[in-house]
Amino acid sequence: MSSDQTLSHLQLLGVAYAHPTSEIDNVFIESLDIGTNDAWITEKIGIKRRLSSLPIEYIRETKNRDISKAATFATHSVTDLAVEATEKLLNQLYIPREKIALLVLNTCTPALPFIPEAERVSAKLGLNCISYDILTACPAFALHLHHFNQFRLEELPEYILGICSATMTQRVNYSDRTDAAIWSDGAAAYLLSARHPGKLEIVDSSFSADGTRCEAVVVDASGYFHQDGRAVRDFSVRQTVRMLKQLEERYALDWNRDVFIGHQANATMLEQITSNRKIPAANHWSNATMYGNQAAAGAPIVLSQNWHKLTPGMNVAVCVLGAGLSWGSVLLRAK
Amino acid sequence: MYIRHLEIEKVTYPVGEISNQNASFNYTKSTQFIKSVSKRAGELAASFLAQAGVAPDKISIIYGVSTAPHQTIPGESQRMAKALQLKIPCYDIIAGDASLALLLDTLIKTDPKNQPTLALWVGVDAITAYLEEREKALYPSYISLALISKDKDAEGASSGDGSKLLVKNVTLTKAESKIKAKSFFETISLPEQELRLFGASGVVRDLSLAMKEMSGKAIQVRVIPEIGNIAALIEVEVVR
Repeated sequence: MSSDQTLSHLQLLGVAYAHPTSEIDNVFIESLDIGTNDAWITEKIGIKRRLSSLPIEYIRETKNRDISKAATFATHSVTDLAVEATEKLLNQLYIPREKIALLVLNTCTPALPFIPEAERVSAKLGLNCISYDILTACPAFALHLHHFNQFRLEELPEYILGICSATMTQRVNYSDRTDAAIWSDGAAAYLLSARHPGKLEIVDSSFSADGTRCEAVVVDASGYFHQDGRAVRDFSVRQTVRMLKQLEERYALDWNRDVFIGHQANATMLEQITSNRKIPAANHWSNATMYGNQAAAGAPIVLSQNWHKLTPGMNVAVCVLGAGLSWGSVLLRAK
Repeated sequence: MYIRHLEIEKVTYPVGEISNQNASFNYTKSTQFIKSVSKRAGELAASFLAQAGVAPDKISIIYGVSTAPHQTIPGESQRMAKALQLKIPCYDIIAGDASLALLLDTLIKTDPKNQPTLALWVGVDAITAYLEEREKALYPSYISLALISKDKDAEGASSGDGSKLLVKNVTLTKAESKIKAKSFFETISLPEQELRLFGASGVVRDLSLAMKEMSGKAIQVRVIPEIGNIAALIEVEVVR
């Protein structure tokens, strides 16, 4: 197809991801002696393993008490993960980097002040394109797709690179049992186009927020992550169910054919949601148990890990939410 | 698109708490909303909207930007929504100095059926937290606000004499940023004789002056970025 022609729907051409390599399992968290154990973590949040950019020995020795040193000892920065995920994506799709005309990125853990972080990633990738951050933390994958889905599609450049990257474990106080068990690090990169057909097309998208509750989740620029966990969890279940119901009604979703991907905050929360909507396990794609909460990168990483399972006609409902408090959904249809 | 109202305020008082006196980084950034420059931005927005004759609930979306945030989460737009007690879509589009230009370009290219009726844009350039003490007076923090509508006659009076800016065209091109940070824990010293107004606020200052003093004229505002990799040319006309 000619790159001059605009398709009727924005296309998702591919997704790739990167993780750091330090494994934090529940036995390790138990060994930190912070008043938690494998059984408690498994029961409460259903997470068994996380991947961190901090060396395991560094966490053991320091519990990340001096947050100003985390970046120095980290094996990967948020920029590194974004670059690694993007290089995999471009190699998979055989897209030369000079074709990328726009880069947008979301991170709640920028490597340095004076953001946009996207500019640093662009420079490291050697891209010759404008780049900026579109930020809302964990629902960013839906926000990025929704943002470009609002355009007159003929106005969009040929290829748009989107990235969600976060190194939340560098912002975790490992003396605090509540946050220590949640977070992983990771990045997802995805390619959008309105001119080249992809395996998935964007059928529907939405995004909204309740800023009055914005202090329920906070990441200080030079401090720790903190949240009102109970309030955020209740909001997450209710709002995800609400988004799913809307998509079910609007598109007659069939959970024996269609698939749900939620925010990978924790596995027990996702089970509550799938139980409510009667979504069978095979049609719920998730990696929270073995990868933890990878912030905004979680949902697109799950999509990437299950890309080979996409079959024509299948709808993929991605409903994600988090800080802001904000939420977004996107309905993708496989071709 | 029409820019119906603009505001800019210099924040000369420090936003943070004195600490770590023996190091060059001599105060920590406040992370509490109540002490933050974002709180001040909310107060400014309330008076800004009252002056424009716009009830906060008429705003359909808030866009925000901060080039040097005290908190990366929530976003500046979301803190503004809290200040105005709004439950509406809000997110940050961060492109450094060209942030407002980028938003205008985005809104122009948005499908008309998806264009917001009335958008509030907030820029908080709280750069002082990352500068050496001697330079804080030279490079203060700024809060800037803009009301943007798709309709010439949308609710919301224009500033003072009834003028507003018709945004005719925005051109974005790739550029190189000049300011390089070290870390969240170190301050930097800026080159002598460099720009003294950072972030997106510079554009707001220029557009404000145009709106007040150049009625009936077509104006071009050029953004050459210190922060971010986007250069911009904004073409506006002052109309009544």
